Order: sequence, then structure tokens, then C-alpha cells
Amino acid sequence: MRRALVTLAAALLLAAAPGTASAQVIFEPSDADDLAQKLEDAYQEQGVCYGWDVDVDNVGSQQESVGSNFGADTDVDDGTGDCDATVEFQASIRWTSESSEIEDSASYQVVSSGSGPTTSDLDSLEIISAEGMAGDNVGLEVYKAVSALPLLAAEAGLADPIEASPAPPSEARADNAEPTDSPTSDFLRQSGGAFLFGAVLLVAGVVFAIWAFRTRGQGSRPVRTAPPPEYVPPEWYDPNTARGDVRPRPPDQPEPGTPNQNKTRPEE
Amino acid sequence: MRTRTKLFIAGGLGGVGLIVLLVALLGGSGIRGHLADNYRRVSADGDSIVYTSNQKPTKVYESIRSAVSPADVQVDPKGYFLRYSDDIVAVTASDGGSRIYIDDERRGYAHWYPFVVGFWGTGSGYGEGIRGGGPGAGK
Repeated sequence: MRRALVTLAAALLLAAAPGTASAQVIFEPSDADDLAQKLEDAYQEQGVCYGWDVDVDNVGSQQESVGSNFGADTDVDDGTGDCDATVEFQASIRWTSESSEIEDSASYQVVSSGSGPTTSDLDSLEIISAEGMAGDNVGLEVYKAVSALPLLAAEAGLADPIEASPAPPSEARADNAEPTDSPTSDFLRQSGGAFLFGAVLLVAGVVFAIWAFRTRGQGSRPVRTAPPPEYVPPEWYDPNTARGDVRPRPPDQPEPGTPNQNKTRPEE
Repeated sequence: MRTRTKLFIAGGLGGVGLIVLLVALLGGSGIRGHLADNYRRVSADGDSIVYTSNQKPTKVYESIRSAVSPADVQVDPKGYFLRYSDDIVAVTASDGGSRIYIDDERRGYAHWYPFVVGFWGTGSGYGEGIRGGGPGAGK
């Protein structure tokens, strides 16, 4: 009984212990700061407060990544500024151990005040998925989703959109900025499936045609029958089975209307 | 099965395959053709063209993305950035509607590098250290 009480107390203590709350659970510190700065810029333009709150169950260890326009590691509800409205990205991720048969899992939602954006608005952008969050790209997907909140707020009429203009090329040159990624071919992405399907059909048609030519006549060749004999001995002639148009008549029965040209059995 | 029937089936397969191939090869107009066909051109400078739309950026982005699938998308509070194999498209808010910019990849990267640096190329900026996954990642 005493042991059971001690176990129960330990379990309650563990459950009550606060998990780690840090933006760096899924982001590098610099990226969490960059994201918070983006939200701060949007807040200054729109007056809407934005944030993220991602709970992570890391093989039983509870961790939390929070941040907002008030800064990385600052929950949107804990900020000191005035908010015309609030939009927060909330998610829950469960990472299991490699040896576990339970798959990693994740879920997310967008929580807004008033008539703000919804989870389906975020889903329509197709920049985040529960499967992606449970996989290798959790940081990138959350980064994109949180970055999209001000756009979605403007789309929902919660705030004015933020305009942007191209940067002067001199800035990029000064930073030695140039593209180094290798995007997939537009053609393959757009028509690759149809191209492959068409090619397979075409090849199948050609192969089938070759096979058809090679097997031509097999199985459908007409049965060759021996030509009727020139001479049938009278004693072989069976009038019950004879067909006048096929078999020659016996020598003693000439064809009607013709002179008697009986063939006689050649002498041996 | 008679030879004529076999050849008829072979011809049908090959014919359909040829049609699908031709549609795949000639059907898509690409991102530049899609923008030219669907949005109002504002200005052009070589391969850099600017279009405008009365729709808000999110609607324009969704329309472009569903018509011509990009290789990658970056999102910023100020707009959507779509990466194609040779071009970069940016959709930003403008006067209650949208502006759509298309550039070749080098000029597009230079124009929008504050938003895409670290994701699509070199330079110092966001996203360089974003990490992903946990202990169970990739299971």
C-alpha cells in the first residue's frame, strides 16, 4: 500500500512538472528570432498580434516552442502590447523512439479572435501538413505556416495587407546572393506523369503489334483436307454416305447429261 | 484471337499513348504563358515582367499554384514566392489587389533575396539553420 502511494505521488509530481518551454525546440535560435521579427514587423503594420505554440512530446519528454511578435519564447498572450486581434498557430507533435512501433504524429490548428483566419485557410495554401510536421521538415513547415498568418489575416479582412517591392539588385550583389538550389524540371512536374503514361502505352502498343505479327496464323490456320481421289473403286462406294458434289461417282454411274466415260480400274 | 483483332488492340494502345504523349508535350504553356494569359501586364524589362490582379494575394497565389505547380514555395508576411525551374514568381499585395512579378531565377533571387535567402541560395539571412525532426524523424 505504501509503495503504491509513493508511486502515485511520483507520477503526479512528474505530470505536474513544467515541460521545457523554448522556441529552440524546433528552431535554431537565429531562426526563431527571425520569425519573431517578421511577426513584429507585421504587428507594426497591421496591429494584429501573431504567435506560435508548439507542444512536443519528445519520447516522453514534454517540450514547448513558443514565440510571437513580442519575441521568441514569449507567448502571444503574455505580450505587453495592445492587440486589435490575435492569431496563433498551435500544434502538437509526438516523437516516439526508434524502437517504438507507434508512428510519429502531429496535429495543428489556427486559433484567431473574431473573424480571423481558420485552419482550413492555412490548409488551402498547401504549405504544411500533419505528416510533414511529424517528419523531418517540422521546423521549416512551422516557419512557413507562422509566416503566412499575416497574409491570411489580411485575406480574412482582419487587417490590411502588407505591400512589398523588389529589393534593389545592389543589395543582393553586396551580399553575394545567388540561387544555388536545383529545382525540379517544370515539365516533369507538370506533365511527367502523363508523359510516362503515354510512353508506356505507346511501347505496349508496339510490343503487342510485334507479338501479333510473330504469332500470325497460329491457332487460326484452316484445316487442310486431302483432295478427293480421282478414282474410287466401285466396291468402296457407299451410296448412304456419298455426297455427289464432293466425291466422284462410281465408274458405273456417269454424270447426268454427259457421255459415258467410265473410268476403269487400271490394270495392274 | 485473330491477327486482325490483335493489331487493332495494338493500334489502339499505341494511338492513345501517342495522343497522351502529344498532349503532355504540347499541352502546358508554362508559368510565363499562364501569367500572360490570365493577368494584366503592367511593365516589362527583358525577362522581368510585372502583372496585376484585382484579387488578393492569397487567391492569386492559389490560382497560380494550382495551374502551374511550383518546385517550392516560400511564404512571408509580405507575399508568396514561388520557385520554378528557371523563374521566380512573387505575389504581393498592391492597392487592394495583387502584383505578380516574374523574373529569371538570378534576377528574381536578387529582387526577392530578403525573403528567399537561405532557402534557395546563398547570402546571409533567414532559414539557414532551420532544423527538423526529432528522435523519431524519418520513421
